[in-house]
Amino acid sequence: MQQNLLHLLCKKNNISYIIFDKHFRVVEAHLIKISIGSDIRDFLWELVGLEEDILKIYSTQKPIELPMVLKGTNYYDLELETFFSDTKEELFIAYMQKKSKQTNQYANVIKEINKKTLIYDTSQEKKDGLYFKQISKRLITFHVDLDGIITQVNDVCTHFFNIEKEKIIGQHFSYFFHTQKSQLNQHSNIFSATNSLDKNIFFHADIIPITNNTNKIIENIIVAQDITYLKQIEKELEYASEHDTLTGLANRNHLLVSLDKYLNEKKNLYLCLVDIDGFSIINEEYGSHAGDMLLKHLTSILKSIIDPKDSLYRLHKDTFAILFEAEKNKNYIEDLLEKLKESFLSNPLIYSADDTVEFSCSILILWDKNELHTSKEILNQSQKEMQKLKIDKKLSR
Amino acid sequence: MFTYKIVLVGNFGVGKTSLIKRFVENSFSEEYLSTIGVSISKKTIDNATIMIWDIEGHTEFKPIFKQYLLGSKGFIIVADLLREETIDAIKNHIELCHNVVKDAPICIALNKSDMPHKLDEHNLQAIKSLSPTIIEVVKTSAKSGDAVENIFFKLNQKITSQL
Repeated sequence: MQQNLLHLLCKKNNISYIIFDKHFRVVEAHLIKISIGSDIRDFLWELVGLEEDILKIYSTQKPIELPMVLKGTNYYDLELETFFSDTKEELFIAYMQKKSKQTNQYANVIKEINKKTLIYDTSQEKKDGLYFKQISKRLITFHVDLDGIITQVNDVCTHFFNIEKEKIIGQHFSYFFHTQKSQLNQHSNIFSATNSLDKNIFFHADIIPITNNTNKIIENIIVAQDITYLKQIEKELEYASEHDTLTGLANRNHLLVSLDKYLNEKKNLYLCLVDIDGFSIINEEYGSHAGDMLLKHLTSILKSIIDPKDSLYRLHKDTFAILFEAEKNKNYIEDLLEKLKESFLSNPLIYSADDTVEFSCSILILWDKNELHTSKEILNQSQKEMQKLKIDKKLSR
Repeated sequence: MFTYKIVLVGNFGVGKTSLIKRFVENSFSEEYLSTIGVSISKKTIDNATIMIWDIEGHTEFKPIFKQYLLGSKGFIIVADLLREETIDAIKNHIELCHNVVKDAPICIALNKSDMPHKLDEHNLQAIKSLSPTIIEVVKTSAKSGDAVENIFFKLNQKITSQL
């Protein structure tokens, strides 16, 4: 009765089956030509390796399902379950349901898609696409209409500002991006914007006009490349042009700028020059390295004594300058210069265990010089006076 | 005679079917026919009969069906030397195999070696170090037949030695 019902149901649903025992010997088959008593694994290769799992089905009550098994040109689903014989013997049944024509057609469609995907995957087109993707990950791109209103933005842009796309679109681009004045051209392609971390970032912008059929520009695409590093280099070059590399002090150029500022603002000007006596002799006696060390040593003495509000410069070779802030008075400066002289005497440069370099400096103070009009005039005058002072000092020895 | 199952695992289009065809029938076709579901081939070498499962490759939309890996004595994970993403996927395939059959031996076939590629010895070592169960990482070519038999024999040797 049980087998008859099974036959009927399987026939109706186009299912074939094989019943087999725990030794994998075929007990019965339906719609399949297979010898009774033969090993089912010779016919169903799918069962090789699954023996342990099949024998466990009685305890786990979990059938084993293997969908879409291809045999020849047809697909079938295989399902392995428990089966009790009329004599209550514990057997197993393997159902094979042949897949419909539609399934075969579906499989062919998937094969076709896979084929096209593979062709694309290995194509130059995809490689180029990947390169562009990498590049576009770093570029802010936005569209603006002819009135400068932002109409589209890419993800890099929204990520940069950490603002939703909807809140950027519709705004004038100048709300986010600020044009920089160019010293080279009338129109600058450099602009800056403040990112979500409140950092000012500089961009170089390429403006790509988009035209319609009649060649009329309807909008512009702006592609912005971060050039903050170039700005950083610019700053470093600016710094280097106004500073001395040995001592790290501001140099003559910087002093000229500061003096001009004083002159423009008509501030009280107190300038002091400090020059090492016999520096060339020290260089000859101890070597140029010792000379460099002495310059650094003098720098640290000057820095430790002068007020941080006053400014220290190295003009050239062994000549230093102190520009006092306008509020300082003569008494203060004279006291300070005394301290400096004492400090030079009591702090010789200990160059090595055997070499102690004693030194002194000539100091010149330039009080308000109302007759001088430019920074260069002041500096030239000061250096002339310093030379005279040094000659007098030599003659008096 | 010992009969056992092995499965070739990898992304779609890496050449799993071609490797099996080269090994079983010593043939090769330039045409790409992707495998849907599973197809099983049989090959006898030395004193063993191997049931070789050629399963549908992993795609962006369809993961590998775990049930197909059940009862496998070893795996050949196949990648395409010309497609970096298939090499990157090896790690995930190893995990998948070990989730179903713990500690099963694995051979890695880096296929299409007949084409110009960038992978060097250093890269092979890096792949080998992904798992101690990897017994061999070999550049293969189903087209020329280069190293194809070698990889099946190496895996067979390991599996039969564990009996």
